[in-house]
Amino acid sequence: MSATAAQRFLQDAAVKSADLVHREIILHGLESYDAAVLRGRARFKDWEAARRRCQEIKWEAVNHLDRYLLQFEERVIAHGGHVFWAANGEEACNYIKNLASRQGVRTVVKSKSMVTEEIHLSPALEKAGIKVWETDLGEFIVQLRNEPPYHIVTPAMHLNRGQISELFREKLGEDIHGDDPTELVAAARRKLRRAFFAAEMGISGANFLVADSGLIALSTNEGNGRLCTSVPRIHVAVTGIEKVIPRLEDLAYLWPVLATSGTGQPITTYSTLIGGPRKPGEPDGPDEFHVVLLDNGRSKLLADAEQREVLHCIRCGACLNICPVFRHIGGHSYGTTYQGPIGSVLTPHLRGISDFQHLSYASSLCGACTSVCPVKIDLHHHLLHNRRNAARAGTTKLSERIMFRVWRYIILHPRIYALTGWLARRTLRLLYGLGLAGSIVDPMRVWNRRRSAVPLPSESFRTRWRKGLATN
Amino acid sequence: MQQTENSSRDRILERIRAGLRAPAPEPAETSPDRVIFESINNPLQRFQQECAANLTECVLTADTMASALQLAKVLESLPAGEVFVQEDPSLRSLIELAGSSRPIRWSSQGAPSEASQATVTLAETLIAQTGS
Repeated sequence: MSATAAQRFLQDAAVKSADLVHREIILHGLESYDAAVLRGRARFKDWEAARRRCQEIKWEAVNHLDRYLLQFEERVIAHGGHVFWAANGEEACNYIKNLASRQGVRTVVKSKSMVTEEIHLSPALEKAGIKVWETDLGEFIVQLRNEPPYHIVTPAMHLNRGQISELFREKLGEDIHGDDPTELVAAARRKLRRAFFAAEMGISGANFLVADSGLIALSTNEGNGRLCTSVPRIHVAVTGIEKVIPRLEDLAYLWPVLATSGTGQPITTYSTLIGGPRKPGEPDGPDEFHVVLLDNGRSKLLADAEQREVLHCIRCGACLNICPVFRHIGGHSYGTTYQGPIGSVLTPHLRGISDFQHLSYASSLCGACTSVCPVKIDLHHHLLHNRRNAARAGTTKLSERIMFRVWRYIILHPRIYALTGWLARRTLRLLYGLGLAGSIVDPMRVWNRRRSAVPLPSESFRTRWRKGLATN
Repeated sequence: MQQTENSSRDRILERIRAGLRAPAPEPAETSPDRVIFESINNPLQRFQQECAANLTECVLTADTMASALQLAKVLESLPAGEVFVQEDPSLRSLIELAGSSRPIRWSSQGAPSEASQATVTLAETLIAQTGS
């Protein structure tokens, strides 16, 4: 029997949290990130006001989604582009495959896009005989390793330069000595440049869809996004419906806030606006421009007024970077397209609460994610909402439901509670005395099997409280 | 209006409209007197500072001749090969003044060749806040 998503999560998390090399790489990367973000926020006169402004923009967009999507569609068509509305990943992939087939596309270059990961576009195209090149350096590296992205912003953050150097020697046949980043980048560039000029189709995501002007806004740091969207004769932008924003001037807030939260930069190196195919007399740009608007569960989440704001997410990755759970278990352990707190909140909505409700517990509920979210999504409370919804939907395990009923009964009866505590202390003391802490018979095994046993108090809190009252 | 044939379009829009019937709580509005970005008193100076932070070399020149000399200096520093230049009358005269012996490919002649060593363009706006 194959392991469930929850079982795989627990197994992978246990392995990764004990992998000290992995933890050191992540810690090193995140320490640099933390310092850059602090510097980046200091560039704002009022960072909190910026977050609030971005929250307002996204609230307005998401709560008038139909209006802004139609406005965006109208403008794109007026610019000579095509808009396709995909209810799910299959429809999106089929549209792009059919387009590629009609146009005789044999090679596709992709810039980084989490939505295309969500719908498994690359495997679908490869299955149709189309060669797909990931051109973002991090994505290119994980593609060579046949791995999904590790992080929504930095897909290869789990690897050090030595590992990448070895990978390039093995997979690209490059004669690389040492792990000099310049040499590594040059090797990737040599390979990818040929792909850029051979590709008939470029596929990108979109950071924002600007309704009032029908533009897509892309934030990248490597320039590959511009090559993907301007060199091949067809450009397809695949994006979630929630990416629409009302006005061009909203980017004055969203772009710097996204860059600051994502990497600590004031603005990403390449901030690009794309408004359709090449016009007569223009020297470059694609002959065809297509936008695929993907629903894939988003409209269902929209209907949940309590959790609608989850659709405000601008995919900066700040909640992942601050999360103590992510910092220990890393991105791949989640087994999802979107990792960390936002992934734990979003995935049960996109892929089913019964299979992914365990992610709601991949949190200490410390609230760090909420405190850094640039659009002020109340992430840790949404994890609680998901837990509650899973319990209401009856998707929790029978043993868990029984345990909570018993707990509820005990907690409502003080004498039984006191007796249970007395019994538990004595039982555990006996087990620990026999050296069975962390063994199969230890009820505290989940905690004790990897740690020293928790010291047992000699008396109950109630007794200590009474004594305290007597002495005061 | 031209429509891409798309059977899911109306279904998605219908689902969105149905979903939005339940209102979500509005966020507290930003106080209008809260200033998000520092005001910039000297935009040119700030632009230059940001350029330095972005590892961009920004050179101020007094007139067209000085600009042409500066451009010639930059072009001379590059390895041999073609330079791609945006088709524009002011750049035409600047390149002429620069007197570079390099092969020039104008944007009106089509896309740059892969071997182009540099691109010369105008800038419509300089953004002081980010050095963009």
